[in-house]
Amino acid sequence: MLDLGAGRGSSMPRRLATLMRKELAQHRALLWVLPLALGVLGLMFWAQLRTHPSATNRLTACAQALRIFVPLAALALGQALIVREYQARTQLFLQALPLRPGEVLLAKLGVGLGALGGTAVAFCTLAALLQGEFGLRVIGSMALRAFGFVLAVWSLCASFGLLGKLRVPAYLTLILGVVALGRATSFQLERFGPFALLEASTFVAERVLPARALLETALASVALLLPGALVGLWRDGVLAERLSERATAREAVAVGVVLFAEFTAIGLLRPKRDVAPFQFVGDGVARGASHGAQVLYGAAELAPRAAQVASALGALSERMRGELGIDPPPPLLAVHNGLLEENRVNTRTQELGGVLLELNLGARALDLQALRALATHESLSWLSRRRALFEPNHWLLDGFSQAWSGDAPALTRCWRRALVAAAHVELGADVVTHWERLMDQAGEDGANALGCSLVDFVGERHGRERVLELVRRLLARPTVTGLVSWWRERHATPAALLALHTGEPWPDIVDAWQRELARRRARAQELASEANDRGELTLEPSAIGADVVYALTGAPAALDRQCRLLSLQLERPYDEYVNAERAERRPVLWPAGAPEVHGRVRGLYPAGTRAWLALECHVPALELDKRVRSVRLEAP
Amino acid sequence: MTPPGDCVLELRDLRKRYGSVPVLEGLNLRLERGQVYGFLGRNGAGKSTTLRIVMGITHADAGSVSLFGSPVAASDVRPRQRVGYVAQEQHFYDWMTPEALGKFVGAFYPSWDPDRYAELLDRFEIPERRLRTFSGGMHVKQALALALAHRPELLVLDEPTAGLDPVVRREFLEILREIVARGEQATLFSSHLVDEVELVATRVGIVEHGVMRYEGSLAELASRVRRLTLPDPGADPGAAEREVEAALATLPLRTLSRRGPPLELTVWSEEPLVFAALEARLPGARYEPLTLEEIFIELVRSSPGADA
Repeated sequence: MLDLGAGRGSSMPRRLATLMRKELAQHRALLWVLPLALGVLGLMFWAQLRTHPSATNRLTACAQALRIFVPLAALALGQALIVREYQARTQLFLQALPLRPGEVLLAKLGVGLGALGGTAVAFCTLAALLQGEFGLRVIGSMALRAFGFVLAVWSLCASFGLLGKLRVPAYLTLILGVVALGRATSFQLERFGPFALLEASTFVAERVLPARALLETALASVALLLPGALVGLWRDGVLAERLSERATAREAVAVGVVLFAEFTAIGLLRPKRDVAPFQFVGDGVARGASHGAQVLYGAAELAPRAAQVASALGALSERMRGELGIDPPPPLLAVHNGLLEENRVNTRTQELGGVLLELNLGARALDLQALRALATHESLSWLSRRRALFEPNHWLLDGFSQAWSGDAPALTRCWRRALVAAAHVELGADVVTHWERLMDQAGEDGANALGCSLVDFVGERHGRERVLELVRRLLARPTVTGLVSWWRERHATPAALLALHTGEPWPDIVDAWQRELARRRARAQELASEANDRGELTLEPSAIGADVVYALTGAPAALDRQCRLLSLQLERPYDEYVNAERAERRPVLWPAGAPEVHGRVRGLYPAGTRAWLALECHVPALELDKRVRSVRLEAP
Repeated sequence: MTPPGDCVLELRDLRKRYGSVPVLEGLNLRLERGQVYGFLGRNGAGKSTTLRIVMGITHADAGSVSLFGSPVAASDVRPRQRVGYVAQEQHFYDWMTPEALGKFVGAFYPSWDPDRYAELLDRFEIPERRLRTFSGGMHVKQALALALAHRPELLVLDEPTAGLDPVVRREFLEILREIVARGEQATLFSSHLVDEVELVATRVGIVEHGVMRYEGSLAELASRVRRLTLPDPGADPGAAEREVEAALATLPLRTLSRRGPPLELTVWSEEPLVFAALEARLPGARYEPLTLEEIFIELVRSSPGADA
């Protein structure tokens, strides 16, 4: 049994120490579980980042793990240290001891903060050391941020624990209050105080002291602690005693009415119109003509490339304002990440109140067209509150992003890619509307090219202004904001609006587009061989599970072709869109001069499982991974 | 240590309300070293509130509390380190054993004596196992051991036998009598059971509706109350009544209760010699003393605001 220390003399520090030792002894099981739980959570996030294609610094797993662990652990500790003390009425025993008012509360706060804060700091330190990060500044920064977050969250949970039967309504009211604040003002929780401290992109990378976030955290902690302290100490703690009793039926009804009123009030709040733009601060930031375009590059040698990117994003921003009527345009932010592969761009939209792109500014070549297309895509997705990703709108979003942001050479390239992609898919009005199925068949690059050519075709056929009107109507603003607008907008698809404004039915437009594709393909003889490749995929039973059998056939090429087999086991629901980034990739070499190539991968899937399989071949002249075949099969 | 005969506890004009409900309305109490004070009152009379104010668990709205000759401040723990307390209900940490509990509590008392604590645990036959396995009686004995282990100068017991069965209650009272007889501390214990007070106390205070109705020794209390029963009045009941009223009017007596016919009066006098005069004025009446329980009942029933 832990020695609870019968000390000689009884000064305040000794009394506090005795009380804390009692808490540690009483809750030692929970205090042992906390670091284990955090360790497991951290491992899970680390493992996920390890295989995630867009992950860079694995230490961001610390921030992700803490965001989940700290609130749950604080709730558990609050329940154990504070709520249970009143529920078991042992606080009456403590009140009878020669203790000053507040000493018991102070001891509990100290134990909670020490346990949680110590666990978080130790976790960050250990993670950094295991990741090979020995810099004191980095470790110190991570530890400080983690402790700040713990301070705020523990203050909340400890304080609300003293509210007894009112704590759940208090939590709900606080959450609703934050939601209301976010809707009605430019307040963003993820940029405030303790949450800003744990922001993934700055948790490891930022070297400056987050003074503002720390100050906000400290003030928030005091403000959160006040109600509980008042309840716990006021009138000799009688109020806290009464609140720890079970709620009567009348009280429960009253609380229910209040919560219902709060929910109703939230629903009636009009969303805020403007969001304060995010700003990178400090050195190493390049800015475009538009204030919202910023590039955080860090090292001096990257400044010229960063300026180039900032200029491109700034120009794009101005075009959004002028042609699409988006005023102000969303912040277009870019961050250098030297670990990314060439031409690889990660998107982290909506984390910072704008579009955030991660790219390698030190790469040999930078594809500004692809960057502009991606920035346009993310901007429209963000502005429309992701409604642009709804299937009927998706082709317009993907296609317009490519077509509008590109110059003439880029448009030519997108048409050429579309000609190749179209040879391997069954097009039609329904297929285009179910865009994710088309992406499944044609691959993301192929689908983007098809969408680009379709948007360009509609622009040529009915005027570019018609396309811009469509985008302004459907993509450049949140069209659905509540029940009434949903009812009004539910039939406002691009197909329907095109038919309405052009007088041409959607199937006719698609048919005309297909004819245009065929006409252009007939004239582009150099692409004929790419268009004639065929692929076959099957699953054959074997003693150790189903084998994947693949075959590629086509005109022999002068050079070896780099192809690959993509495979992914499907989970329910089996018809969900497959993100090819998650698929396993096996290289397939199609030798020069060979009219076909076959292969078998043994025992890949147990009987009864379902798999998504695809064959792609790289077309160097078009910088395109052409998807020759894709299927969804059940293993026999 | 407080010298003999000195005041250990003094409450003056203590007032306390819970919301709109008055609980104490000017309570006065004085306890000197060596005294065993039985604080008697009905349920809801204000006993526990008074003791919680003495212990600093609750604070009075008005009035003063002096412990060991000095006024008590909420932030000053030193006077309370000289007081041992047994609450009406025990809320110990049930995961602790008596030894662990002693070590925890002992840290708050400079004069804690672990050997004495062990001796008390042995004397009270308290086993060394987790408190969640203890019966109600064992909890009370455990509380008494904790209260005595630091050799307090004042021992405060708030209805310590509430909820105990008769056997355990008797055992506890005998232990208590033995301890208070041996010890030099002042003892203040509250109860609504008169026989407990009679068994242990040397001084008694009777509280009703937050006001002290009597404070003094048991012997004094017994000497101040008489019941007189008048004989059958016969044909003229009014004459007997008039005779009684005339006698009472001329003497410093207060009627606590009146019943009959035949007429039965309970009267109170601050001066016991008055009863001799009354006997002389009403020689035909039968005079008898009352038990402490009967006196207690008569006093509380006759208090202002008492139930009919």
